[in-house]
Amino acid sequence: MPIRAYNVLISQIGAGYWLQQPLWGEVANTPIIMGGNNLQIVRLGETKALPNPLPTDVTAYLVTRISAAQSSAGSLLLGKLINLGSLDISGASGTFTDGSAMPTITELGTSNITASAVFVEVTTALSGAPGSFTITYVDQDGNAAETTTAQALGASAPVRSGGWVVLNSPDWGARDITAAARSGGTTPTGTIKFWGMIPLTILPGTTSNVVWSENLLTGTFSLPRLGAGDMIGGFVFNNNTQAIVGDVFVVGDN
Amino acid sequence: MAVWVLSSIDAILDTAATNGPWSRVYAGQIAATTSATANSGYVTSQRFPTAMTMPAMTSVSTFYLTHFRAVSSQAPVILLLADEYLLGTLNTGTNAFTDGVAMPSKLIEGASTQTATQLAVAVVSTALGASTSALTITYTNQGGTANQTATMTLPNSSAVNSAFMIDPHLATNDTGIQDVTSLSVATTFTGVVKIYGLIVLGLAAQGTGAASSSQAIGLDCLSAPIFPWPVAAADALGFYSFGTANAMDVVATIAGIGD
Repeated sequence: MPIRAYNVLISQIGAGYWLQQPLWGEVANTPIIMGGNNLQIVRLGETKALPNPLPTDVTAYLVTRISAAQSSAGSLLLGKLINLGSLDISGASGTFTDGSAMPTITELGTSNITASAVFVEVTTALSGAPGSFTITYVDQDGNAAETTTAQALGASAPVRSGGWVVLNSPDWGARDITAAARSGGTTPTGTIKFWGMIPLTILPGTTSNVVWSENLLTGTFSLPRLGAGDMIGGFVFNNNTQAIVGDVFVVGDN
Repeated sequence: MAVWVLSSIDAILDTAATNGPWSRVYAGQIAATTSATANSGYVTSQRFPTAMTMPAMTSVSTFYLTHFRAVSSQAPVILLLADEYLLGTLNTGTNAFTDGVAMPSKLIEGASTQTATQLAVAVVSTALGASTSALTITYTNQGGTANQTATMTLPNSSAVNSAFMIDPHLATNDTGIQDVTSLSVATTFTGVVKIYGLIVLGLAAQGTGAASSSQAIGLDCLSAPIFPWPVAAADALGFYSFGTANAMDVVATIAGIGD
């Protein structure tokens, strides 16, 4: 049954329409924060893809709880990740490989093209003088694509290094990335990836080695429906080497 | 008219399933601003230059925030998410006043009610000159009494996005502003100042010692309740910080449902 009432949620769980998905991540090398910003953001080591295709009688996934513990204190930003594209920074100006646009979903009764802050992650370690990058993006309102200012890539940044991309004021988010390029540097090599997100929560991990748990259903009422193959992942707000373990509890809607 | 969606957990689940929730992850950055003084609001504040605009709504008429969490690169700091209304603008170089909107009517305790600001701020949108003078704000107060005045002197050379709280300078016994009807400075100086009226939707506090690791403390809006203000389509959601004038990044998650 559609989860339109708490008792239906319970009956869905009782009928076996639930999934406990482990969450795990590791940051093995001290990451470098980049992207032109001050806030330390590092993507978790792993993403979890929800089962694809949807099981019989399930039309969507509803995440009801997230729990995690980590070896280094720092809040966790968790949600559905969208691969917006990647940039191989080598060559004259790099090579952009397009990803997906932010999804169109029904929100407040209206079909909307969603938008997100853009996060950048090093997926292949960068060389010693990697230069800077720009992205060309469609903003949260769907205006014609525009290009950001050049933002520094971290010298010799290891895998997992990252940050968020500073967009042109007054933009706060992007619907899509249509191009990315590298400038400057000396024989640059490496790859960076751009992520968008439909958020679930920020888990306040203020102490290490303590389990933090979030009730998305009746605590924060953060209730986006997720689909087959959607990736759950996120970012940690520090730049320490660390490990994170946790789980995500999902109930099937129909 | 009652607020149906907040009548039960089942009603919240129903609107989330039927109409879909709205959720976004926001990232914003602000350069260093200017600290407040006793003549300009007492509490140092900043307005992030990137506000969000609520989307169109169909089948629902209002949005209720249920989740707000934020982390910043500075601590200690309070981060505030507000339903934001531009009440007026003053070019301090020419004393030219441009009227904005009045605070809206919202559904409160079952009745459409004219609101007043919970917080009002004077935000610098063009940097101020080196020698400022007294700013006079003429307004209609929370009870509808017109031609009240607040006077404050913004610091010399105030930087863009500095926000100065007007509330400490309201007329005696006034607690808010329904409308700004005029703005002027005693002696002109370079700059532009915008007056925003705020209705507080969410708060997040980041305590001491957390700056480098950016640890968020959020207040969930319903289960640790603050007043669930109804937010309309096309409303602007503004981000503010209190407690520092330093350059700062913030990342926030925002979610809610429609009624």
